[in-house]
Amino acid sequence: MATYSPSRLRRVVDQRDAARASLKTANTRLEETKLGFRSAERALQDFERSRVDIRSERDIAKFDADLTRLSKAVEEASELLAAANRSRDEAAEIVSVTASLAHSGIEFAAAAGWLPNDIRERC
Amino acid sequence: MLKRKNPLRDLLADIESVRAKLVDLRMERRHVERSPISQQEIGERVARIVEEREAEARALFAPEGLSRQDGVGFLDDGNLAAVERSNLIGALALLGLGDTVRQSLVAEATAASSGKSYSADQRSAELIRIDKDFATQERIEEALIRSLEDSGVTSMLRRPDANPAIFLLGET
Repeated sequence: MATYSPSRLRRVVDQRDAARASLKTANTRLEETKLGFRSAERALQDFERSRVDIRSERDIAKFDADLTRLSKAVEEASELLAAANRSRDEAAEIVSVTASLAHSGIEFAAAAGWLPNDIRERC
Repeated sequence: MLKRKNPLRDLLADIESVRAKLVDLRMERRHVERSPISQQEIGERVARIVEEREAEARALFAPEGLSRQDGVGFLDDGNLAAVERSNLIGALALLGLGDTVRQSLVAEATAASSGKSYSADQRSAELIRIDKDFATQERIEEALIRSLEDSGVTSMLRRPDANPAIFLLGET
């Protein structure tokens, strides 16, 4: 006769909760990264709009260096944003899978009459 | 030179292989579910349809009207116009052409059905076999994932539609 393990169900529910926490972190990280990207973009736009007084070769070199630095910052922020988006999507996928497993596991245990109370409270 | 065995990679490959079999079995199940019914069942279905249509036509048909003296009462055409309009198959069966209609419908249905056909018993037996195979593969998959977890790899996700009757089983 098949014997079922409350500890296995507990683990599945733990995985679901851990996945939810990871998704929350990933969302927070994504928001922070968006702010960083917008800030870098704004700095570049401000620089492009600003009036630059160029009088010497040195001024040209400084202008080029500033433009390169700000453009690179936007590029890096954009890469970070893409990575944060991917992480968030992966975290959401894991939440979806683990939530589905936890749901079916809890329903199965409840139907069979062995759903532990501590898990019932976490439904 | 012999390739060095990598147990983790082997386990992952085995899980992939089992999951591919599960996909195949699911497709096979869908195929069997949607396959045509048997020749005998087509015949029975057609006979039932024609019989129902004939009964409907008979409820409308008023043959006594055909022998009625003109101008005495309604339906002196036996209500045939209404019978034909509402139910041609029933009208033909009513007039003794039921066998011809049945044979023609069975021939049309047979010509239009494609792929292997199953009787209800055959289909049921085939679905039971597929479900058994599916459960066996799911048990193998679960054992492989547990081996992976025992090796310290906890990142392998179970399928979202994994069977709780299998992934919640205690150790035997």
